[in-house]
Amino acid sequence: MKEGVGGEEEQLDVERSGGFAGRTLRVSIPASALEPRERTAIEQRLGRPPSPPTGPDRFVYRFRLHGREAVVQEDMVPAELQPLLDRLSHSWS
Amino acid sequence: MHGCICSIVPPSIFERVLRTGTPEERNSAMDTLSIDHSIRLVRAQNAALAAQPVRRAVAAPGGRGVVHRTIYDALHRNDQQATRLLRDEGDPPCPDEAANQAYDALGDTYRFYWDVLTRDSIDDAGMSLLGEVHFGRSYDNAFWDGRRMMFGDGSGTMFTGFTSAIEVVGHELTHGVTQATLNLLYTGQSGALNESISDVFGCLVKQYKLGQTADQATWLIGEGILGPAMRGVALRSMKAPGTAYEGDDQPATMSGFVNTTSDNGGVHVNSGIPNHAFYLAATAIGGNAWERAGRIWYQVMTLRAVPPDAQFHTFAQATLIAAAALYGASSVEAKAVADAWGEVGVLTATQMPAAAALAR
Repeated sequence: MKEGVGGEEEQLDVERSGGFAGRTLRVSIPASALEPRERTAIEQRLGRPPSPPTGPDRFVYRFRLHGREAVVQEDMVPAELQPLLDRLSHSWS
Repeated sequence: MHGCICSIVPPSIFERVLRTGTPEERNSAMDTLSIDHSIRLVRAQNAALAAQPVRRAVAAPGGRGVVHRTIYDALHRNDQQATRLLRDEGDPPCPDEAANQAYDALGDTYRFYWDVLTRDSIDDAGMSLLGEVHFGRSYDNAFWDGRRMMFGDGSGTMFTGFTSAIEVVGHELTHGVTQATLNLLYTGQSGALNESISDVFGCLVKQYKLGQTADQATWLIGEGILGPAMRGVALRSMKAPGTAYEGDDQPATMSGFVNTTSDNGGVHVNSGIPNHAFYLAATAIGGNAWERAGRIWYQVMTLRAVPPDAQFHTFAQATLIAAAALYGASSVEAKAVADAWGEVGVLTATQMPAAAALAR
């Protein structure tokens, strides 16, 4: 198990904002719960400039890992991360 | 100066200032981020729009003022590739309730734009109205993709669907009208204006359909689509922003303006401010909101009176000029619009266009 600062297990924080409702919802999961291809897909995008809006009322996802973040518009989410978002679909709060 | 700083300082520094800085530091950081982003956003949005131009997908038969709707089934896919036809223009109702609701609401929205504003569809050239229902799985959203209106079924917990609320359909179609007119950048204040215009005309579509005056209307967006996990009556209230449901954080005035990088710079949060300005203007004018207040807002759109990166005060001044042009600089309508923007804190007395400018 990979540990973060202070010996605590590293967390992936995911935020979903936007959509017609405009609600900002969040969920955190242990980074160890990520599939390798999911972790790679997120890590490749950390620190990149946020993707610009692609259209009104689309969701915007923010992934935070290792103290860095990636902001990705809904229709720019790579296929590798779709299963992760499906797993999180009932965990937003 | 800010632009130079932006090129060498990582955005994360500014993000940190936004979270922890003093109000002055946060404003400065937001300005800097906005300038830096705006250059990229103008390029990116123009590129995206060039790839998805508003165009007539199918030539609508019958000349001006004749609606043409086509409703498809997304088959629960989210790749926007589904093409199963559910109901075409003139077809009788089909067994799919969401398809019939979308068909009817698109017809009501088209009729509003034609009857009230003499606008022939999204592009004012008879563009066919395309809708897709059952987008994604338990998808808690509806959106305009540049060519079509997409509707999820909702998860059943947060939302129960999006086609049953006529103002939601009107909201999405109006995003197409905004794209075809002002082309407002979907970020920060211009994005909040984009959202507000959709709420304004979504509400007006409903009020016109129901024959409600400004005083009779609920001014709610998303009435009747909340699931059991959402405690409230709707998603947004133009009459009283921030009160539609438990957790609604829309401000009504500039004193509550939210600085955030979420939701493309808070486009659905800060839209409460111009939303409330419209409500105040419409109720002060009285009568049917679509007849005068709606026409003033629409005039700003069709004359392309503000640039794509318009801020609240730019749009507010444009509505004042439009009100004066339509009804006179000393009219009840012009005064109502000026008072509304003043009450929500967007325009101070010194920012009001000079009477001479209004009279021109």
